[in-house]
Amino acid sequence: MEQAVAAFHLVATWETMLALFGGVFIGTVVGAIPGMTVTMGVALTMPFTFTMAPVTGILLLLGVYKGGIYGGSITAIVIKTPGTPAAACTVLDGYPMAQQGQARKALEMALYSSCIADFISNLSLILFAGWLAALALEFGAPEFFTLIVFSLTIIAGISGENLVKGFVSAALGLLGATVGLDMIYGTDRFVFGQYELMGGLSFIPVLIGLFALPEIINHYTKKPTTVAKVRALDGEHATMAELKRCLKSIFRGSLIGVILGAIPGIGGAPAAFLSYSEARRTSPQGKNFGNGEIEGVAASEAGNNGVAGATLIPLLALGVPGDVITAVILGAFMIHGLRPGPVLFQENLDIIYALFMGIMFSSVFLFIIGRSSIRLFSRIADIPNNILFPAVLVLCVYGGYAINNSVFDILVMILTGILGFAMLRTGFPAAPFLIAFVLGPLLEDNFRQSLLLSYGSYEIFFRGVICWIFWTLTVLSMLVILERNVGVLRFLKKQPGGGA
Amino acid sequence: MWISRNQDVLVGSLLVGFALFGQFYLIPMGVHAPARVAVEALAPAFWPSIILWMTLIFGGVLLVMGVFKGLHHDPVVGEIDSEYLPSREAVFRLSVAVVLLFIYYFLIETIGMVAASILAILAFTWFSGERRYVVFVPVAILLPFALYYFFTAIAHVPLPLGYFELFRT
Repeated sequence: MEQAVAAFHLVATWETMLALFGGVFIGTVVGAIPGMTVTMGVALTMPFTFTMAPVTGILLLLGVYKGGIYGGSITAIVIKTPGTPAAACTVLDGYPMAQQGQARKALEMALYSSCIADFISNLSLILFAGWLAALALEFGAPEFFTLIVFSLTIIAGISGENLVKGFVSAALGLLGATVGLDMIYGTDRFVFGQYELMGGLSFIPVLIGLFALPEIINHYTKKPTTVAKVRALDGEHATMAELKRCLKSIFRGSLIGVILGAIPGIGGAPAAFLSYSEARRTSPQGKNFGNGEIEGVAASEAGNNGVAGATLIPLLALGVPGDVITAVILGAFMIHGLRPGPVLFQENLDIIYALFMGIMFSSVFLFIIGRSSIRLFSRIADIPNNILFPAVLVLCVYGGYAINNSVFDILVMILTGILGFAMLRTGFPAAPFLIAFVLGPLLEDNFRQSLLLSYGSYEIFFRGVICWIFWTLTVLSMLVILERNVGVLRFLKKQPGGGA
Repeated sequence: MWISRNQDVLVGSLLVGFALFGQFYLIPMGVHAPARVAVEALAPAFWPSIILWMTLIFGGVLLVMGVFKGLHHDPVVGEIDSEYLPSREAVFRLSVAVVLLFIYYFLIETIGMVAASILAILAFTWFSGERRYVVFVPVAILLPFALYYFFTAIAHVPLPLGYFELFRT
């Protein structure tokens, strides 16, 4: 109870509420801009949180995350350009509705559905994170090592079209994380006389370099395009009867989002498509799906937003990010001197409770901001990229510098940006790189701690049930990924005489 | 996206080359190990070495897949995505953008963050083909100053001002 009161004092300040509100607003704006991603939004906002209290700063970032997921649906509906990959499913019925003069109705249903799903997802986070963290208290270094191996394989395996490229990307991220002083012996690794590298590559410049700069550089290699003009937001409002009709799909979609969101690496897009296909299969209006069916918009947005709170479950309870945005938020925790995981639940329960309270407020803010600003947000896509991207570049440079007051970090950011651009254009996913970069030190640290405990014996990695569970899950996930992935197996099967 | 049948061969070769370079040059030259290490797996070079072997294997797989693709498909080289400019123009514009990025970086230390950022916005926006000066010149001036104000006055981050250090308040 004392912790809850302390948490309330942490969250019930005007700074925190303003930060959360501002975060949701910024996220919605970013999500509504084609070409900007939610990860970019969170990355660019992070430097502004350095001087804030941890709860305030992290809630600001969570606000951007949640706003961004909803914002992606706006341009999906209005100009058939999903602001986020997860909003691609919303296009299927949202855009036909806009063509039929029902853009307002579609946007409102997307908002209601997003808020309900977000709320349910937040509840699941509150219910399950503590339970999982209590379980994780049993974990020692070997268990954490096997858990991180499992997380890395699943994330690297399903984050791109090509399994091998996903693993290469993860390997490069792990390598980047080894730069700096060795954690046990204190000797240099890949420092080459640059004292700025002794502390390792800074997280923020690498993050911005990987996720913001490549898009900016890429802009200059594209043909000039004219952004589709935003349709007038005329038409009727979504009615209560329509909302009631869609509730079943919204709850089902939320549940699908929660389940898929809690599994590392799945993300919002599969949840949205699964929710959509289930709604189409079971709805009496199933045949109308794809032609401007409001239930289709509700289902896809519910699946998409149901993921948002649930992805925080493995992050807060185990300290393992489920996707790239939670990897970024893990970085934010570290910058504020906090380490998510079971220990945080023991030592900083007030912060955990404060985050839970703040997250619940975010659903309310999302509703208020979305309801009052639909017309404004639908116009955001009109901002010309020719002006937007140079402005974002300047934001990147200020942000890259601010973490360590170091011009060298700007150089790191530019070089990572060029690498990120090369990866973008050759089909290497950036997400496994970043997640491996964040998890790399933890992986190595737990690996070496385990070996120190066992005096060099590798048997310690098989010492108990938990280790065996994670090894089994790792093997199973690898088999599933290999079977389903468009990479090695499918390629080999296509060869004359190869495979089935 | 630039897609060519040979792309995987090229990238795979680069990865194999990089992994070997790392294994036999970067680690010996860049990882300092103590004179005696009780357990080999605890040595500072152990982990980077494992990662580079992984890179070598995955790079090799990519290379082999690229070679197989080349054998079983017609060699189609070039852009197949109409979203992008023709390769010669794209390479030129890419090179200019990268050069501008480095000029921006070097200007930060000489003329400071604000002045360099103003010039950067002007240069990049003009390079994008934007000619509505009334729109982008105010953005180029106001945004760097607004960010300067936030970082110095609110976040207390001293931004470099280069030659304009005298004007720091």
